Amino acid sequence: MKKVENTVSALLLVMLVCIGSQSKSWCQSLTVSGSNWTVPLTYITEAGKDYVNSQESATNQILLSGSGTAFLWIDGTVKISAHYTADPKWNNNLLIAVKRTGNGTLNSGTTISGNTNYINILNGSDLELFTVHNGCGFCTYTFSNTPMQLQLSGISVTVPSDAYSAKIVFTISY
Amino acid sequence: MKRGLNLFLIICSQFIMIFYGLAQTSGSKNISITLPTVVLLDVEPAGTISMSFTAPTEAGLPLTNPTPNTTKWLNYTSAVTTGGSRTISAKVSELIPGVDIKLKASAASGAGGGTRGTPGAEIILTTSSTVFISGVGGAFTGTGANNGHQLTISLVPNNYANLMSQTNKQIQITYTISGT
Repeated sequence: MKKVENTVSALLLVMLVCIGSQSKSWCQSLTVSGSNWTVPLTYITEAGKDYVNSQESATNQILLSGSGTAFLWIDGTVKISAHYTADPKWNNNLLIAVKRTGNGTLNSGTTISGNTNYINILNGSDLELFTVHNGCGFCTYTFSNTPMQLQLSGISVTVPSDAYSAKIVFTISY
Repeated sequence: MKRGLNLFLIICSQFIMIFYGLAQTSGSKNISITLPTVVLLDVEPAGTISMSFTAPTEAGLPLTNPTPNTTKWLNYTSAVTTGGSRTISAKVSELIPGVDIKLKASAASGAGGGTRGTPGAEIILTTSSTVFISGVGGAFTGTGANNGHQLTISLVPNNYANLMSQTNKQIQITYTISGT
């Protein structure tokens, strides 16, 4: 009886910590791997022409791995969002879009949905990309190496010549 | 009793954490691109143009001027740093005694975009470069005829005393885009 009571207490404690803190530990986590992307330029060879307007990265340029925790009556869904920030200089005529090109590896019962088409992300403001769900009663569910592709559009000679760089920030949350 | 107190403290701490909005888990990767300065200029379509005065058929009448040529179009691509601006100038390889070679550019039309240049008034070409389009920023005109600035080239006598009969006199017009 005492053992059952302790187990229930532990579950409640975990639940409360997770609900309350949205913490980085065992309630939800996100790892961003893969590599930075240096956008290649197709040089202009004829007067009057502009750059090719958009470029795409490798389909697995960025890999997202993470986990969430489901509880008895709380929907086990985490959402992955993204935004970008200048690092240190960016021009907002250059549009960054991301899409999910696969599921990666999901543990049993976990589903992933959304962002199979490009979504333009915003400067400094998170935009939801996709969700990861598991309806298990109480478990930690995981997704790993979910591949993401980047697209940069708006590449033009009308954008002032300069070196531009931005940090694409992915966030996991309930 | 003690367990109840602990639970209460945990609940309180969680609500405090909610209000202070502890950071959600995140990670990042960088995207970067370098856009260089670009400057390209072309006259389309390629090839020479031919213009001839017509001799009068009655004593006392002047030469008949050739019809101004409007077949050439100026195409360019320009990428500049912030605040940068370019000009386009033209010059001739040599002068024809008694004749002015005049040049006028129309406003940019056709394909293209960005800050295309503003044509100035008609200029008389000399062997020194004269600006006839200014304010070219980051821009592209599109390629070929009917894109960019249409050029009007005309020949007019400026002094009959200096006129000399000429046959197949070839003059080269050189266009230059400059600035940063």
